[in-house]
Amino acid sequence: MVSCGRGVEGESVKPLVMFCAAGMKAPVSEIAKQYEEECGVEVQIQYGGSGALLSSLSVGVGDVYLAADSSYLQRAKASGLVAEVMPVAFLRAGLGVPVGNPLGLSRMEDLGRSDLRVGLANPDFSAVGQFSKKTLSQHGMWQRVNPTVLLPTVNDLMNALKLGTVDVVVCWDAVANQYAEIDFVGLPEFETERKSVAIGVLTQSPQPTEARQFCHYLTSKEKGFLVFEANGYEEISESAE
Amino acid sequence: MQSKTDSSVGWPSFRVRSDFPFFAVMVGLAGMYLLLIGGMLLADIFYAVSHVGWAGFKDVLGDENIQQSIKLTLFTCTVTALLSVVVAVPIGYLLSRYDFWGKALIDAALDIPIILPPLVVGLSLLILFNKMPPWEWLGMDGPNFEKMFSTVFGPLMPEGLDAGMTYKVPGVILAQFSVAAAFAVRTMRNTFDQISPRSEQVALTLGCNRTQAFFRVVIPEAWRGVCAAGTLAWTRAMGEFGPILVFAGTIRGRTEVLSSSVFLEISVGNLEGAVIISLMMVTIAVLVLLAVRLLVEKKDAHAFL
Repeated sequence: MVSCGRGVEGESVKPLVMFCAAGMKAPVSEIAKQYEEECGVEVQIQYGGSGALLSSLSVGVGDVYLAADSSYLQRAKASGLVAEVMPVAFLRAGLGVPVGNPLGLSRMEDLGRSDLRVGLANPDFSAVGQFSKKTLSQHGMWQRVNPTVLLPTVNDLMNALKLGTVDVVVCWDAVANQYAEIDFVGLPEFETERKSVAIGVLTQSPQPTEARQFCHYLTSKEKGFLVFEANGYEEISESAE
Repeated sequence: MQSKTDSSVGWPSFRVRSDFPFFAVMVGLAGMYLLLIGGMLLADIFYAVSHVGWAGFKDVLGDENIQQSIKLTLFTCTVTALLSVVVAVPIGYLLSRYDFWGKALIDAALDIPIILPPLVVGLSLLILFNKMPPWEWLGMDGPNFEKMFSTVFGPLMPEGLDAGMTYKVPGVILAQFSVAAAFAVRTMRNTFDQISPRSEQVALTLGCNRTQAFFRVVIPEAWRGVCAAGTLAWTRAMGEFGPILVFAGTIRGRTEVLSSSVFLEISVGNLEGAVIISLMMVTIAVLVLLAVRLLVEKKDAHAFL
């Protein structure tokens, strides 16, 4: 079981500051609320693209960093910004299309069609953008895709689809599933590599014990993961990562 | 009880003869704000120089994306300033000279772009162009404004410019214009308020029609105001970011203006680059303000010759 492990009774714990990948807002904000109710520790969350947040880690002050792709945490760990990394849940990338897939898109090659308005996430800012660029490059598609727009986060892509400013985007399954107006179309090329959401305690955290407790809560099967599961995320098996 | 005839009663009888306290307080308060502005600029310069040195400035200026961004900024701001003046002059004139039903409402509506959060302006434009079904209300099928715009203006676009609004260069201009024009309107309204309608009326009695009186008498009189409105719109357009981010995207090399460059650099953690671009924007703004002031003064000098 995960306990709140509150410190000495009466000792007030300062709010935890969390940098969180914008695409994970739905489950994470719910877990943070739940955590505050159960453990009495407020979690203040700043959302942004995983990459954009990583760049601001060195300037800002915070306790916890959650990225949509564990590679960001590995990078943060390598540069000494993060002490410990914990996997959270799996993500699959694929096509996001308006509900019902009116244009019948199902292949990666569709992203290269010039008659379609393609929206991608900015590879410099966000995990899904970085993954899109990498995978499309591996299949020789990156040069052929002429995106109508590059947006900062996967949520911005979802909004663009909702407003009809793009026809198709590359996004995470769990994020697309949160929108009733959006359907997710899996792509075999994108399946080969599943990405894992990961969380880590920042080395600069003034309260690392409390930060680690929150990470354990968020990743625990009985607590945080239930929320992720309810939001359509897949569990990380023991063998993975 | 105080006597109504003696107005000095009630005021302290002692009076400081020197004006020094007055000016000390005024200059002190003014100086606080100037110090803040100067402090921010100095901090930027100090940060950039201490982290990347003066060579960093050369690197940023030499960056192809930044050069493209400077060009697009100069282009979009100039178009925005011209468009803003074109709508601000008639609006300012009509509001200043005529009273009509609903004037107070229109006056308030003209402030909406200034009051609204910039992101809301962008979102509203996005919805207007992409989700507003103008025909559905009439029971007909038809394209949205975005498609209509692309079809009508697409062939007229200069070489190298995309047709369309959303995530395109015209969208940058429209996003800038939506806010900048409101500032130009305020300036023109004040300008016309300060110009007596008398000379215009004299021109009318001397045989000018309305159009002639407007262009031969009113506009020359309002020239300084027109320049001020244009400059304000230009600089405001350069600082605009929120509506551009949402409506035109910040696509490197395509819809990237200097304000988006700053955002892009901050997002990838290049604070030095962001600071250097910011300083560049300050320089450009100051140059534009000075150039217009010189031009206006030169023209005024000629007028008196």
